[in-house]
Amino acid sequence: MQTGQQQWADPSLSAQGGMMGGTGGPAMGGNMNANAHEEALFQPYSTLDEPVLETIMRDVRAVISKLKVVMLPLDRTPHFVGGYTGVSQSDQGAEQTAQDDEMSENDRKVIQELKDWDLWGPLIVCLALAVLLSFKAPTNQASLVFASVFITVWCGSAVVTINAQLLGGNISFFQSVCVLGYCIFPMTMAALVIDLLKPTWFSWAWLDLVFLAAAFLWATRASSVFIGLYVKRERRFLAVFPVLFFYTFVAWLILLF
Amino acid sequence: MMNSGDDDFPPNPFRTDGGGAPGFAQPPPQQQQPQFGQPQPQFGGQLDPVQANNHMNQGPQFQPSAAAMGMGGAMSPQQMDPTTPASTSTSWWGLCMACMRLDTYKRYFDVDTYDIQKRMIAAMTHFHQPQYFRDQVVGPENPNLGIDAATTSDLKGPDLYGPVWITFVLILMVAATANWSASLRYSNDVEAEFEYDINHLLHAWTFLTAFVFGVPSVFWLCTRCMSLQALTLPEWICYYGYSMVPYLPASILCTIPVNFIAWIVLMAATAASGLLVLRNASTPLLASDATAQKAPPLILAILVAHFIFFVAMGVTFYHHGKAHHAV
Repeated sequence: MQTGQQQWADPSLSAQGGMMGGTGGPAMGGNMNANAHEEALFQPYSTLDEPVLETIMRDVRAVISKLKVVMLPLDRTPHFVGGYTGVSQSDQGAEQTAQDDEMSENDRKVIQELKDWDLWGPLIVCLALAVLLSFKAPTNQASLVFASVFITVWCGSAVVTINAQLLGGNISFFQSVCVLGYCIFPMTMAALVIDLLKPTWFSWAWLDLVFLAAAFLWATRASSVFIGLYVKRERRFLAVFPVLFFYTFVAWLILLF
Repeated sequence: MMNSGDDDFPPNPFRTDGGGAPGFAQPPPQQQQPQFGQPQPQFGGQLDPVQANNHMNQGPQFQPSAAAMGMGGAMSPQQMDPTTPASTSTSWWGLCMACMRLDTYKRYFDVDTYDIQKRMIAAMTHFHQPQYFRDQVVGPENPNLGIDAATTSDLKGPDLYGPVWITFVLILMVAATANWSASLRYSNDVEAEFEYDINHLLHAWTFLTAFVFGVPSVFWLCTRCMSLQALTLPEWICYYGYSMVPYLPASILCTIPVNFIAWIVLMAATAASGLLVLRNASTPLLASDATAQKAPPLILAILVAHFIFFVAMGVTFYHHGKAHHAV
């Protein structure tokens, strides 16, 4: 504190770029936002004086923006398929593979957005899924269902991440847990749709499978590209297979309960 | 830290080669100490100079006590696997800490997609040939893996990726197919089906984890106690893990709700799986046994364990008696 009157930047200006885990606190000055508010943001700002709603909405907006990014429609180009069949001898590393032509613009945007991790989103998604499934279960099994879904999601994410790390990928643990958690969101949507359609005419088992298959494809799109990015090309499938297995397991749990 | 040529300290009580007598060539501390900026002082402090001499030319990078995790406790250098890396700590605390760190396991995950493919195919096609899986597909344990980039050998040593993920996939498949075959056999109401699923999943998890990770550990401990230096623990787990590959198609075939077919299929899978383990484990066991009295009971025990596994799997998951709601 060099001067008596510190000029605090307006916290509402940083609302668009404010993230929970990636920036490292209000003293950083919010250098994520490269727009006209740059000057004001380079000064340290305090979030103590802002309204509570503003504080909450900052994180809500971050979560929603990441959910939107995860739910973007599928790309036409089979970009990551080409990556897994290639038997390249050179190990290019994560940064260079991000610049490969096989990574479409869409994917690059997704990866960039997901790099600022936070765990609120995965928690909300996981709780939503667990609560939804435990509503459908018979009363005496409801808590068991909730517990098993919750544990599956978090322990499964941890196992997949540790596997990628063991295979030699320099992936950050929480970043990967964040991505895997956000990508469960399509599964939650599918579970909701199945649940809503059950009392109606549409409640066939085959339709459930179709919904879950669509959700599975959607979920694995961003997460498998993300996980595969950090691992050598020769073993990319070894890192991606656990991701596929994890979402298959979640889909099986949804189908079951 | 000087651990020889220093007369102020008493002989190192943890050293297993007969005491800390000065006169051993001092290991190069400049190369090795910076690697151990870690909260376990035992790693940096208690280097076995005999081992260090053997591996002085391997470069400054080596992964601490990867084989020590498999070796266990204070072993004499003669008993130890000659390919142990130099940083093996001989203290129990150091080894316990080693188990918690990811680095000790990384050398068992240093495999490519092609390697895993090759191993799984070999587990299905070459299980009957003696020593094929061990010598030509897996190879001996290689401490230079991940360190020495010039390793051109195709044989990368035992891996743990295969056992872990084959087990997980098999758990899901057994639980799913057991439920499916039960629902094909009976007309269940929703609650009974649900009861089956959770219990099938839990039973599958218990059986398979115990069989793929517990049984080899027990056998490895037995060989340790009987001083048969046959296979290292990762090798045991690797062979047992890949022996689960025949059960993957078997579990799919077991959805056919006829009991007889299920038992036949399971028997065939058990035969393939048991042969894989036996063919690859028995030769080293017999070779390392000077008296030829300790290895045959162990081999018999491997057979018996497989048979018990076969019966347990059949009865728990795929055998459908008259009363179907008892779990």
